[in-house]
Amino acid sequence: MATKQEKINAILNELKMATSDIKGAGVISPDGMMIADQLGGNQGDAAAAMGAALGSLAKRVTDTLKVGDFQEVNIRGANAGILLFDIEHRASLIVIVNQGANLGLVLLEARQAQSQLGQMI
Amino acid sequence: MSETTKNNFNRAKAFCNFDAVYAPLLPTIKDVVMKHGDEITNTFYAELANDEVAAAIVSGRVEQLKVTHKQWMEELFNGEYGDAYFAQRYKIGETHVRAKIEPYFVEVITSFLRRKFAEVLSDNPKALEAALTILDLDAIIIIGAYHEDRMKRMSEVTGMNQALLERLMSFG
Ligand code: HEM
Repeated sequence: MATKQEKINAILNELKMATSDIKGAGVISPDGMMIADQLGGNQGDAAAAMGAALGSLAKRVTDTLKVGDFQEVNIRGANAGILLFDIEHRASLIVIVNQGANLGLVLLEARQAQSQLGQMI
Repeated sequence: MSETTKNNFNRAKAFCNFDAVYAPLLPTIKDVVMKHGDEITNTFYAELANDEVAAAIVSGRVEQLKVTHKQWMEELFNGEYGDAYFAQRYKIGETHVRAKIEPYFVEVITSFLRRKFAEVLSDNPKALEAALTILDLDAIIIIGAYHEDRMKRMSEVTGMNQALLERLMSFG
């Protein structure tokens, strides 16, 4: 039987395979620790901490401004994009996308992964 | 939420071998210092009164505060500096945090107390060392209470838990 870690990694793997616009993905704990890292490169620790910070702040903003539960954040950099999805307030899914990515497809796939992870974490 | 400060208090005591070197000495100098207790306490509040903001904070309750302050000073020389001492001193810190007294005032008034202790213990260097050390340990606790309050509020306003805040700062 697959371990939880393997199942999480399988979901991330499937997400990355869905479109070449997705450069990497990871699952982060609210403490800023990497739960599963398929981001590529060597910025895992920083990405986990920054991702968790982004998620916490986003949740705080959505609560304060009363726009409902925090669901996702979309950041566009000059060279790439960062998407962050809440997973039942227990973790976050971070996705790095290419510049000019087809966000429609990326969001569709990432939200599906978000929902799968929500049932597991 | 006093773990960090308690840890620092215990580390600071170990750092200067406080329990073996200074703790037994402090009760022996209690009378010498407390002979000047009223004078130190009165000057403490006179100094505070020189600052407009501090004066407004203590206004109307100076006499009552003098009583608690003198008692606090006596307790510096009781000879017991374990968990109960820490808990009681941390509560004093929290009282000042709640009263929204800037930590700056605690720092400058502690500095004043250092000068006063140096004055009254000028002929006994080892006693002065002990008195300044317990004063510093108390300052570690009071300022620690401020620090922990700031971290708690930072956590509340950002939604980030303490572990995450510490992790983020470690990247600085
Ligand atoms: C080394 C510095 C200080 C020491 C040791 C000290 C000591 C104390 C003690 C023992 C109490 C009683 C605490 C309690 O009832 O729980 C107290 C309360 C108080 N102190 Fe201080 N204090 C210091 C600095 C200051 C400064 C700088 C100010 C003002 C600028 C100040 C203003 C007050 C006030 C207003 C209270 C009453 C708070 C309340 O009951 O709401 N203290 N202090």
